[in-house]
Amino acid sequence: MSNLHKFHRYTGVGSAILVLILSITGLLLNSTDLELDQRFISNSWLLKQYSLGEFPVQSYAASDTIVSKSGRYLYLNNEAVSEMNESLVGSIALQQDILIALPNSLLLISKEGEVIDQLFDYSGLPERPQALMVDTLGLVLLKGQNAVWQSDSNLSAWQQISRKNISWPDAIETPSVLSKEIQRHARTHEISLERMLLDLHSGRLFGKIGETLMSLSAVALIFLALSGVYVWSRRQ
Amino acid sequence: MKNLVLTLVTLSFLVNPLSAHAKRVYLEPGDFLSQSFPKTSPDANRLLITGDLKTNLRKVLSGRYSKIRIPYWQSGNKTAWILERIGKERPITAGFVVEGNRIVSFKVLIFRESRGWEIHNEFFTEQFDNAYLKDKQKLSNQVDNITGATMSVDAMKTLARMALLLHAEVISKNSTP
Repeated sequence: MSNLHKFHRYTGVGSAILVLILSITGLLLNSTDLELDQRFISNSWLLKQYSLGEFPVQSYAASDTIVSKSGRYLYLNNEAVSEMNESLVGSIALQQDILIALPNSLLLISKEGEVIDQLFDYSGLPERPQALMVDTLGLVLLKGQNAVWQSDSNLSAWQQISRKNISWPDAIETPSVLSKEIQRHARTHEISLERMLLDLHSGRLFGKIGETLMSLSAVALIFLALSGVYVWSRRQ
Repeated sequence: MKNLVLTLVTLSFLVNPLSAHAKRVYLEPGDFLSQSFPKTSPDANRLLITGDLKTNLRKVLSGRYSKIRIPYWQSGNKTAWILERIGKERPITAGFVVEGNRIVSFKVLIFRESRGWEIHNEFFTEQFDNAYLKDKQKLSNQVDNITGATMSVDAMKTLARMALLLHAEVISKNSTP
């Protein structure tokens, strides 16, 4: 048996597990029907590899509903209603809906969590929100960087007003039971199965060592293919 | 042999299967509107998705739109729409101008996906010029796929159909006494 033949064998046996991981994860990642980006990992050991850290919960009261943001979700009480990357600036309860102020927009959402509308500077928002409240007449007051604005609950027209000494509502402390529930949800809905498989495929799940091992296994595969053909052709 | 192995090792390190989700703003929505209406600057109107429109929109989107009220801008028979749809994971924001029930302008404004950004190029967007809705809300123009960007391409085709459908609704409402 030639040296190349022996080397071919040892390479095959030595890289078998890594090549299997590479192939199986590759197969799974190619299957779009599995909707791997919609499934999330909740295993604490796997999540630990991502060093996710704390999931702070930011909350504002909107009448009897607590509007919160943690991780990449927006919550109405303990219900995740939408994905959202921005932090909260304020929230108020309107007659039927909830109006949420974000750094660049106002988000109108039903109490069931259905997004009704989102106002940006190009679609009717007078200024970037800094605070939000509803006055005793039921009018919406918006604090911008330069002025205070007023609108009815339709949010169709905004008027600049000169009212002073408005006490704008601050964020509230999230009740501890709710906070824990939200944090648990946010943590277990952060890393999709697709991302985990991709990180396993590339070896990044185990840091630099994992990356190097996976790269070597790819090199081993190339070597196996070339040496296999070479050995076969010599036998012919 | 030694050189071959070294080359392969180097190549394997250069292959990067991951790319970050970077937000690419190709055109600010406000600038898209100014370009679409250079002489007038119409205020935003809002179209409520109810009744038949809701049913037809569900057919076009194969599901519901993420919002119930959709802003639009109108000057005469010309309307502009800023719409969003997820390609694979993140929403792509696109702007459409419709006049005479045909698309007169289409631009990809904000792209948030990790792949498929090529759809913002003119060679892709110009395929929608003059497109209109045929029977069963199909798009009249043949739009070629871009390899590796199939989901983004499909999302834009769907939004084009949606813009045409919404435009027809606004124009028919305007003409109803």
